[in-house]
Amino acid sequence: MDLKPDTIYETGLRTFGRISADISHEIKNALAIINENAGLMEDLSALADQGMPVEPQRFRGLAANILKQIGRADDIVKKMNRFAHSTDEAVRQVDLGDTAAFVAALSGRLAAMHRVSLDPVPPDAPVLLTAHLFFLETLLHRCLSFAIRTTEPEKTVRIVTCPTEIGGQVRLCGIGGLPHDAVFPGATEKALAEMLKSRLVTDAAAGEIRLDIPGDVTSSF
Amino acid sequence: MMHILLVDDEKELVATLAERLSMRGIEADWATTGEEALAYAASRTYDLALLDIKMPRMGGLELKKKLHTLHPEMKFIFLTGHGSEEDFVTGASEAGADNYLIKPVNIQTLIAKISKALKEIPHSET
Repeated sequence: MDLKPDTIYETGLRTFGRISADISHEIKNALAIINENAGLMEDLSALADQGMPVEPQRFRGLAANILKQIGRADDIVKKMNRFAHSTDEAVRQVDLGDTAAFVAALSGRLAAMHRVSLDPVPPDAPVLLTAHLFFLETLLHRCLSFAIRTTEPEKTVRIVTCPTEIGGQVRLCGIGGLPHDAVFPGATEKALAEMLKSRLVTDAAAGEIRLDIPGDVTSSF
Repeated sequence: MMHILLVDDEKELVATLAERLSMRGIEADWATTGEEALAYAASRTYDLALLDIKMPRMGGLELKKKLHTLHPEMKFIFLTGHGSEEDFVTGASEAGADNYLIKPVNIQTLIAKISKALKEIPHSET
């Protein structure tokens, strides 16, 4: 297959943009809640200034809500920071189970919008590979996005990572409604998988997408 | 007193905003899903609904259509966390560019938009 590097890089850039947009949306929600809680504290303070008694516990509750949302926003920013740094080096040592769980975390908002739950199942021991981290994340995100959109609401997609003889495997299990004709992987996913020297298979009968990755990937670029 | 309905899947956001609006003489019910909002709207009439565009189950645009069927006179303001050009075009086409807000929202701005939207209610119906 012609790898078409421009297409692969464009796919990576689009995935980066998609994930960044979801992250900014989550941060906006946290900020909006902080804004309303702080505004309510201001409102209650103004009432207190006018002589209306306000219970101190009310302020404590609002402050606790603000701290909770700051913690939420901090977690989101940490995810964003980790994702941004995945572009630092082309090829590096990768913990496959940790990477799969991280991509699931990045896909949380998309899953919530489709009312699908994600359940990362880590391996018993770390599965360490030498791979191109950013494009591995890109491919996993595309697989997971397809799984989320295909699965019926209220169902769970399990993300199972395990070691194999050649390296490691990630299986997306419990995907409902997988069509039996080969709509996935598409040309872009196939090109990404080939670049990662991996094998990407959709098993409609089992309701699974399987990605087999060798222990040492040497980038084609 | 005006009655408005706040709908957003972030419960803390709508619950707190409802309390702040009530302090300003605006009676507000809140819901975290479209289905819950429709249940409220089935039992009472609202002057205006503030709807988050992106929600699980039923997004704000779909909810607006259903609420409009129930209460054709109801006004709408859309709320979003995205702030993208695409969202702005979609929201503005549904509610008008003046009735589209991006989170976080200044409450004075929101009240000004609510007041402006409600002035557009045809007085012949009241």
